[in-house]
Amino acid sequence: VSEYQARPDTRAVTQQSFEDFYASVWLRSFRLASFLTQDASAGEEIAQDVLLNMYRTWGKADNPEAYLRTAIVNAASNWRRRAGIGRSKLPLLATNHHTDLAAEELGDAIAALPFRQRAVIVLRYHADLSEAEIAETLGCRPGTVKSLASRALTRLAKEIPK
Amino acid sequence: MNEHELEDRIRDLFTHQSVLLDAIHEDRGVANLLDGPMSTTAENTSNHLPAVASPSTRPRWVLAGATAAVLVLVVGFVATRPAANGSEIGTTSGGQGGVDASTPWQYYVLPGETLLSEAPLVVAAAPGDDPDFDTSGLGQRLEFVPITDIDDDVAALISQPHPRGEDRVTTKVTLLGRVEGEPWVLRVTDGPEEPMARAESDDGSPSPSTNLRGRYLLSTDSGFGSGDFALTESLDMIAIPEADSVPTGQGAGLSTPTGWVTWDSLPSNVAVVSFTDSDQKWWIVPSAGVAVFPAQFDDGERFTLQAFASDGRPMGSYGETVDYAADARAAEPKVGEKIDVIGGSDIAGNPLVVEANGRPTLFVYGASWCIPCSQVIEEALPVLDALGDTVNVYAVPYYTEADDAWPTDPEWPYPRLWLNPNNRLRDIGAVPSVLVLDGTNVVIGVIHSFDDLAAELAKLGITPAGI
Repeated sequence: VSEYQARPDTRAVTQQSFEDFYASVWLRSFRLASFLTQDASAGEEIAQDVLLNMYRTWGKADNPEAYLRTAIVNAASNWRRRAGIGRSKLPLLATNHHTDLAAEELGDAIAALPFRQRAVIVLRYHADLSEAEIAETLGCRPGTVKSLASRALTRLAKEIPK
Repeated sequence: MNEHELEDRIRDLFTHQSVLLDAIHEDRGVANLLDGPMSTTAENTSNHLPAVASPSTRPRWVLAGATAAVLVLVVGFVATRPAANGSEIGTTSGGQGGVDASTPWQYYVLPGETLLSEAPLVVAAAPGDDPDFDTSGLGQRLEFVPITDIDDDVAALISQPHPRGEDRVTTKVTLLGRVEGEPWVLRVTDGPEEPMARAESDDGSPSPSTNLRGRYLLSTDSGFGSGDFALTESLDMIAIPEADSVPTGQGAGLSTPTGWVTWDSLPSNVAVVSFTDSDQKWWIVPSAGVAVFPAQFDDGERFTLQAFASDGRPMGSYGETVDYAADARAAEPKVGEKIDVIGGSDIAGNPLVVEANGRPTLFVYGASWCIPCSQVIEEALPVLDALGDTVNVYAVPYYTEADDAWPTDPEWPYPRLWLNPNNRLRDIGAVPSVLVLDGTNVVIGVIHSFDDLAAELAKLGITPAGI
């Protein structure tokens, strides 16, 4: 079960304190938003904003984890880089066995994907969500998720070195 | 590559980056969320990160001694990689403004930044199959040593944007190393804002001086790479060769009449300059030996450039006392001089030869980095417009790179001429300037003052028709 997947007992979640919830989700919220925007600073801002909003309405969402996920995706989708600021890449750690450049190419190619394609890739391969969960998060049909994923993978396969 | 392999690579990449994101980001306490902007304090730093000192006690560090060779390696690597345009870049080595393997390097962090390392680093191996990569530094240990206190004036200066604004290049480098012992973090940050200054290069080559700003991190707490790392980043960093003194030498200055100076032949270990009898200092990032800073000198005024290292240490004076005007303008085309050939290329790269056609020709010199030049253009356009086709007009970008399409104003209606490097008209002593030839390509004047361009042209007998 992915750490991003909603916990089955939603009552238990809603009954937990916001502080506990925050402690358990902060880092992956930051990560998810960073991957979606391909920008760690933006990821931090988005995670912070979304969690602050959740704090203000804490207890209302039936499924805080799913709500959080969707809110982060929506916020990342709406996020636009400030004008005049250059692209800041996510950090990249690699071994010295030739994988550094390949990983970098892949990172660049993911960053260059249209947002919804990138979101599917991130939610599937980073958050490890099912097609149904991704569809729910993105607010689309599972068939759309499948087609977005297929297009994204085709594009990535074309753009990265063999 | 089949789809499964691609999927594995995507997962691996996300896993790698997750480790880094986790490590660069402290596990924020909820109190910070509710208190507004997040602050980095030791209290809310997660366990696997070294505590970050409070801003007032943050140490500044220098990566020195044996470390030096590593950065030389890095520079060597960058310098021998093919340029983006496909041409090969020569290795930066030796000589004034250059570095070689014997040059000790100093790695420093600007005020407000933090560089932490919990474990010694060791140079590991060269990435890829680059045959030119110097592996002589392998096995050397990197150590961080504290830097001495920086001069307040210099500290204030280097926190300012470089006067060339955003017209610069961020150098991509690869840092190599091996982690020994416990998990460690190398963290350089000056906060969440974007870097304020970047390395730049006038000739398109990677600069030996890069400006370390922003957030960078190496972390191995998940065991990736078996302790070896190669971090490829668009690092904004300054790696300035350590030296007891800056070489003294003759600089060639090029001043704009409105207050900007280009200084050639600066060594790369100069970070800040000032002029004799002046309290003002300027933060510079010499690149290709060229620095640009705001200063104005009258004709005949003499000065000495004082140089400072990146940590604020005075590095002696650079540049023997120079008669600026004599140096910069003595070589200019003289009134009465016949210019035989005026050749170069146009904006499309096609050969362009300016033939005498019986009408005066105005060459308007400028550069995109020259702030006064754009102001002059605004004033010059109506004057040139009034002259109509009684004159020929060319814009001459001072730099020869075709990507400096000065003037950048899309309204500029006249052709741009990139002069051949050895053309006599390249010897103009200042930008912005207007060089005026008569209808037979004989120099009749050089205008450096733009207070009233129409009047200056009128002195040369060039007036709008009917006036």
